[in-house]
Amino acid sequence: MIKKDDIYKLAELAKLSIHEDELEVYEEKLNRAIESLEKIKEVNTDNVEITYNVNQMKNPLREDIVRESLSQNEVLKNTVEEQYGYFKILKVMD
Amino acid sequence: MRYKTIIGLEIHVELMTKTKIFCSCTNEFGGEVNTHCCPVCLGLPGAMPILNKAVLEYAMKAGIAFNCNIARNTKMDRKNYFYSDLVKGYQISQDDIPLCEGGYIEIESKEGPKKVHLNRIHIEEDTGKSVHTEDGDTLLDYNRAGVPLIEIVSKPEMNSAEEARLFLEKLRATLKYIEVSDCKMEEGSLRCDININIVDMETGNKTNITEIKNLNSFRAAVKAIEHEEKRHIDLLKEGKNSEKETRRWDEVQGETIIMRQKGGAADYRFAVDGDILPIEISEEWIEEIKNSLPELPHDKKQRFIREYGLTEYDAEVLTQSRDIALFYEDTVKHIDDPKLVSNWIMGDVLRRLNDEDLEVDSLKFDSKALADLIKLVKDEKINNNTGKKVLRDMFETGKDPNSIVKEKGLIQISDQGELSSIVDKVLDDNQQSIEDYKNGKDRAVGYLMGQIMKATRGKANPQLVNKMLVEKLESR
Repeated sequence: MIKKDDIYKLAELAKLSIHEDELEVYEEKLNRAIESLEKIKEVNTDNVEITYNVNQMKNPLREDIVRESLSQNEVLKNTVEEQYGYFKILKVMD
Repeated sequence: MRYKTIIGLEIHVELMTKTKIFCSCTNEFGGEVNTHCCPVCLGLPGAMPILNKAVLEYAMKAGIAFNCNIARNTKMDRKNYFYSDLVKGYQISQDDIPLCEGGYIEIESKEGPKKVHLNRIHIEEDTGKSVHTEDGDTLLDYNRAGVPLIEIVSKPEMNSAEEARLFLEKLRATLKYIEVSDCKMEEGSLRCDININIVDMETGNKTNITEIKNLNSFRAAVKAIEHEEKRHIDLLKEGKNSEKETRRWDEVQGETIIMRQKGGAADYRFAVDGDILPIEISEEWIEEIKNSLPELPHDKKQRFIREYGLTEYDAEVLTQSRDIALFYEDTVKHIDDPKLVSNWIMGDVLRRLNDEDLEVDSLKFDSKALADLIKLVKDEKINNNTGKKVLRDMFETGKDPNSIVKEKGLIQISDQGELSSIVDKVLDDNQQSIEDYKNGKDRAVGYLMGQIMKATRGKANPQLVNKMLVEKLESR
């Protein structure tokens, strides 16, 4: 069961701000979603190998050969702000 | 000892592949900002990462060199966290199935050889670089985004700053040997984090683990460990405990400073990266990589002891870097006197290189020239001190030792008659010293030797002169 604290934590991870009056709605919806997953647990998966990818191909590896990159202009094309060839954002400090 | 230090290390190493881990952008260091980028390493929507084969090969080389088990089946996972230098909001890394598992690095600790075990080595992508300006902005360069890394995680099995230093040096030497990374801490191609805590052996009390970041040299790592050791022990003595936190080393202040408390553990929500298909590694491939590895430092060291009759210490120093070992072996090829060559390289050559923080490949002379110089000394054409002077000249000018000796007229004087008359003259001019000698002052001999060397501009054969001088003093 998902509790209110879990929802705050999830919201933080998802970078969402949640109002207190929304909590109950989320709580109910999320719990319903999780409950529906319970159904899957009924399947017996003993002796079944884990499927990491439904595509059965393996090792499509790339040879180590340099190809042309984008130009600096192209790289910065979609950014709002740039300076000296850098992407410019508000200061972040960890 | 009452307090036991426990140290574990996490080392990130950038691999020297030509391209990045998931795209064909160049993996060259530096470059004009944001010019080594493409839709994949910029994390643009819809771009598909394709794993670089060479990254697997380089990482396997490291794994084999450090005695790890190589996974036959592995995969890539997404590690989710939010930071502006991480383009996709997740880093492609490895979670529960690392490429290499276990293994160890053997160090020569004071108490003898010690195996420091590894937890794992896994592959992942590097992040971009942020520059924080004084105007309150952050500037981002994504040239480094997607540069291939291996993360090497040791078990907490080191018990002193010295052991950590030995571990790091062995690790770096090996990775450079097998040409997996250039391991330049100043360029960030080798980065190390330290986990440290202290156990009070009497009470069994343990301090909480501190993680130390921002170490840009092995020396800084040693100083940070020593600082942190003391801080933890002082806390224990006061009946307190350290906080579980991350600190950074401040080189200027010479202390660690708190960065953040490790309150709730970070939730990275690891999940399989569905963009990258499972990786299968065949026995043949592993065998192929094994066979491609050059002789490793440890094996080379043992061979040097066996083949050249060197001491454990000499062999250790000479095999620290592949270039030094190669230079040594090349020199021995030209003059078959392994011990003498080892003395010259370990003494004057390495001292000078260390003083000036240079590598062997920046020497202006080659192994043949050094062998020629050693031959001149060995054949007593020049004496040892002159030899050192000639070597200094070779460092500066790169000139051939035979030409230096010829040009400067440094050939040693071994002619009995010539030396005899010089010794006589010096004795005549220094009556006081003769008297001192007779009165039992042995220092007088040293002074007179000095005068003779001065008179011959250092060219006199010292063994001959010494013998002659004592004889003449006795007979006066």
